[in-house]
Amino acid sequence: MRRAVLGLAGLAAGTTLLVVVKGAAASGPAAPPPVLAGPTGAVPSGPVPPSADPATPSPAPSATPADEPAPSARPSRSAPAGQPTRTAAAPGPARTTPAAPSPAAGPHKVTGPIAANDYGAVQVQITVTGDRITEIRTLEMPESSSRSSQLSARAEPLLRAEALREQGADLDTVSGATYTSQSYRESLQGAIDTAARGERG
Amino acid sequence: MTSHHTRSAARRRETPARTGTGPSAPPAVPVAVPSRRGAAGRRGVAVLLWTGLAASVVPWWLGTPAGSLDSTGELLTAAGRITGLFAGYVLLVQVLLMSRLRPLERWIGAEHLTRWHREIGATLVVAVLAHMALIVLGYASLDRISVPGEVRLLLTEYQHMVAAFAAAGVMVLLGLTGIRAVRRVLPYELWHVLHLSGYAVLLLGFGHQFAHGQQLFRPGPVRTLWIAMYAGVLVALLWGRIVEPLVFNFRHRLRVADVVAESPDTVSVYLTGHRLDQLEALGGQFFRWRFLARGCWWQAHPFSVSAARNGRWLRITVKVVGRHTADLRDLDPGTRVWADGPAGTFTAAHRTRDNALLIAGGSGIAPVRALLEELPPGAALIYRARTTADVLLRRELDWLARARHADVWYVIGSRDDPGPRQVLSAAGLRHLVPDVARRDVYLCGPPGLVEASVRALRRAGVPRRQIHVATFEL
Amino acid sequence: MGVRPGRRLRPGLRRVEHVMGTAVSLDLADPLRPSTLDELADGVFAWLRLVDARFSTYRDDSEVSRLDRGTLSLPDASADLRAVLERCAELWGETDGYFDAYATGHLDPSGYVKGWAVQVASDRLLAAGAANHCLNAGGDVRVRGHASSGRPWRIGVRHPWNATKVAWVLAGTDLAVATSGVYERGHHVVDPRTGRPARGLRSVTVVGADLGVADAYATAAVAMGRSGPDWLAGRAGHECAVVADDATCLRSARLPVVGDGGPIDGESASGESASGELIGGGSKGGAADGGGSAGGAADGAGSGGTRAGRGADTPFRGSTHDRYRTTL
Repeated sequence: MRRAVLGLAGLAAGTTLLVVVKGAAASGPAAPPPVLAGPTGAVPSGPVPPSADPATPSPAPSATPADEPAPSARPSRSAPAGQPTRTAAAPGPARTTPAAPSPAAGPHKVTGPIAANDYGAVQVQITVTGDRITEIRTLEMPESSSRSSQLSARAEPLLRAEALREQGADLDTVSGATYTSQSYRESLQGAIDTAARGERG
Repeated sequence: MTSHHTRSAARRRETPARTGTGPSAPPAVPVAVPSRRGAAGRRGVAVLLWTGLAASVVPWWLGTPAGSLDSTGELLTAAGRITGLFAGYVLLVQVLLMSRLRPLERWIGAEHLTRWHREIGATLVVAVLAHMALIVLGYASLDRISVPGEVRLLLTEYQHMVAAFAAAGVMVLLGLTGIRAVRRVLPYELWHVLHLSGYAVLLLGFGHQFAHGQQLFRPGPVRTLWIAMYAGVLVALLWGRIVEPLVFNFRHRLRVADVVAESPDTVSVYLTGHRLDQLEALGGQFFRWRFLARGCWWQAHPFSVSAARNGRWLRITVKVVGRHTADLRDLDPGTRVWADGPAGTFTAAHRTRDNALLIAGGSGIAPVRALLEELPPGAALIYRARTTADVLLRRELDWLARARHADVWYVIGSRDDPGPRQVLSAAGLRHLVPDVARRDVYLCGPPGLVEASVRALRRAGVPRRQIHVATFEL
Repeated sequence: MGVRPGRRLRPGLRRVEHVMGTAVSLDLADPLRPSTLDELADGVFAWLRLVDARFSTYRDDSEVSRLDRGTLSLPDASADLRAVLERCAELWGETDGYFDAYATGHLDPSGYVKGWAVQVASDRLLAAGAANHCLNAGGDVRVRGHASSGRPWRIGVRHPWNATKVAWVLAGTDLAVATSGVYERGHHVVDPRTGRPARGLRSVTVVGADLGVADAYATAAVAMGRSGPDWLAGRAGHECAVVADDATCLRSARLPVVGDGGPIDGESASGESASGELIGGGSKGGAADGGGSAGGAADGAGSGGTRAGRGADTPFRGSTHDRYRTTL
C-alpha cells in the first residue's frame, strides 16, 4: 500500500503544480497583445458595410473567439477544427460599431466581443470621434460580462419595472417562445385558432 | 520423524530406484535450463505507460491559455479536468493490465501485473472521486449556484452524465472489493464477478468523456489519440481473453489422462493433449484451469504445473481444500480441459544468479518441484511439512536431487517445533546454505511460512530482488 | 365547417398549418374574394415550406445541412441563404457575439430564419394587396393593418408560467413581436461566453419593425442573462418586455401596451400606443430581403434543448440533443 500512497501524493502534487503554474503564467506579458493591429487598420469611416464576400473565410485576427476558447468558456460553439467559415468576416470590434446611420457627433465608445488569445482573454474598446478612431484600449475581461447579481436598473429611464400580471383579454394572437406542434394544441394560441375556426364558414 | 538439530535433519537421498508416481517416470534426459530473462521488458512497458500518462495530460496544458485561471471556480475546474484526464487514462491502463495479453505476460509477468493493478487501483478510485468533486465545485462556483443545484443541473441537462455518475459509483464499489479484508470474506467466485463490473465503469464513463471533455469533444489529434487508446485496449482485451485462449486450446486440446492420489488430501491430475512439445510452459508457471465436467465447468482456478514440460503430459498437484478441488478427484479420464496460460514469473528464466535455494511448504512443493527440474545444477531445496505423510512427490524429489545435483532437506515438524524454527532462521539458513546471500530464493507455501522465511532471508542478507515468491492471489 | 346560426361570417381567412416543426397561424383580414385569399394563403405556406426545405437543420438535403457538411459551396447556394448568412454575421456583431449561427458547432441559423421568413411573407402579402394580416409562426408574430373587428391587432405576450394567460397585451398596426423563452424547450439558449445554458431570464419579448431582427435580439438577450435588458434598452427602434427567473419584470416605457382589460377603440387609448407604429427605427432590419439569423441556439425550429426528453417530443428525425455540445 505504500506505493498507493505515493501514487496519491503524486497525483495531488502534480495536479496542484500544473494548476498553479498555469495560473501564475498569467502575470506574464502585460502589454496589449497583437490583436490591436487588426481593428486599427480595418475600421472604415462611417457605417461599417458587411464584408463584401462572405464566402471568404477570413478568420478575424484573434478578435474572433478562435479555436482556443477562453477556458472559462466551456463553449459548445464554433470552429470544430476545420470550420473556418465564420461569415463574421471582418475583425470583431469593427463589427460592433453600431450600424447607426450617422456616427455620433461626440466621441462614443465601442467595445468588441471578448476574444481569447495566447495572453488571455481580451476585450478591446475603441473610441470613435466623428468618423475616426481616437483611442483604443484593452479592457480587463469582465469577470463575466453576462452576470450581474440583480436585474439591473441601470437603464432606468428606458425600462420600467412592473409587476407580472395575468390577463386574458380578448386577443387576436399570442406571442411566446416557440411551441412544438404538440404543445401548440394546449396553448392559448391553439385555443384562439380553434375558436376562430368555429366562426368561419 | 521430527528433528531437533539441523544436523540430524533429514538429508535424504535415496538409491536410484523406480521413482515417480505417474504413468511414467520423469524423463531420463535432463531438461534444458532456460535462458535468463531480464527486467528490461518490464521497465520498457513502465516507461511506455508513463509516457502515455504524460500524453494524456499535456493537452490540457497546451489547450489552456495562461491567465485563464483567474477565479476559484476556474482553478477548481482546471484541477477537475486534470484529474479527469488522469483517471480516464489510468482506467484504460488497468483494463489493459488485466487483458492477459501474451506479450504483457512475457515482459511483465502475472505477479507484477497483479501488483501494479492493485496498487494503481487505489489511486484510480481517489482520482475519479476527486475529479467529480472538483468539477462540481468548480462549476457551482462559476455558475454561482449551490452545489446540489449544480449536481441537478449536470444530471438533467448534460447528456451521459447520469451514466458518468453511475460509473463513479461502480468504481467506488470496485475499490471496496479491492480491500484485502473484503476479499478474504467473499468467496472467490463472487469476488470475481463483482470485479468484472470494471468493464461497466469503462462503458458508462466513456460517453461523457467524449461529449464533454474539454480536450476531447472537438475533433482533432487529441480526440483521435483517445479513441485510438480505447480501441487499442479493446483489441488487447479481445485478443488476450478470447483469441489467444481459443488458439491455445484448439492447438493442444488438453484432456484429463489420469487422476492420482498423492496423499490423503492431495491429488495429481495428469493431462494429455496434442503438440505438447510445442507447449511453452516453464516450470513454476501456472494455468487457469477450467475442467469441462459437470459442476466444474463454470469455474476457472489457477494451479501450477508440478513437472517441467516433457512433451508427453502435463501435471498439476492440488491440495483439496474446498468443494471445487474435491471435485477434481472425481474427474473422469478424457474430460476436456480449457486452459488459460501459461502465466507467472516464478521460473528459472527469472533467476538473477547461478545458484538457487528453494523453500516449499505443503502443497507449495508443486511449482517448486517443476522448478527444480529446470534450474542449473547445485540448487538446494528445503521442504517444510508437518508430518512425513504430508511430504509429496518424495521419490521424484529424491531422484531429482541426484540427477540435478541438488541438496534436498525435508524439515518435518509443526510450526512451533524448535527444529523447523531454527532451520528457518537467518542463522539456520546460513548454516544449511552458506552462500544463501548469493542465491536466488524461490518460495512457495502457506503465507505464514513465506513471511517468516522472507524475514529470515532478509536478515541473512539476501537482496530483495533475489527473492521470488509465488503468489496465488490472482 | 357549418355556419352556426346567428353568427355572422367574418370576412377574410384564417388558416393553421404545421410547418417548420411548429404551428403557423395566418389571419387575412382583407375583404378580398375567397379565391384570392386562398391563393395568398397558399403562397404564404408554400413559401414557409420552401424555407423549411432550404434551411432546416433536421434535413440532410437542406442547403444549410449541405453547406455545413461542405457538399455545397457558398457561391452555389441560393441568394436567400447567402443573404441570411450575411445578416447573421451582422447580428453577431450587433449582439456582441451572443447571437451566433455557429454556437452549436454546426451552422444553425434557425433562430433568425423563422422570423425572417415570416417577415418576408408579410412583406409579400402587403405587396400583393393584403395590407391587413396577422401571421404567427410558433410565437413569432408580424401584424399589419387592422383585424376583422376593425381594431388594431391585439397581440398577447404569453405568461411565462401560466400557459393559458398572457402577461401583456400589445396592440399595433405595423408590428413585429418576437419572444424567446425557456418555458417551452427548457434552457436551450446557450451563453456563448461560457458554453453553458443561459440563466437569469425566463422570457424576453422584443417589438420592432423586422421580425427576424427582433427574434435574434430576443434570443441574444436570453443568452446574456441578467444583463440582457440593459442591452435591449440600448437598441433604438426596439421595445422590450422582460421577465426574469424570479418573476421581476422590466419593460420599455414605449412598449405598445394596451391598458388593462376591455376592448379599445380604433386607435389606442393611451398615447404611448401610438408608438406602436414603429417604422424604420434603426437602419437595421427593414430590408425586405432580411438577412440570416443565427441563434446562440434559438428557440426556432432548429436546435432544440439538451434534455433528451424534450428532443423526443419533436417530430423531427434525429435527436435534438446531438446539436448541442458542452465541455467540461
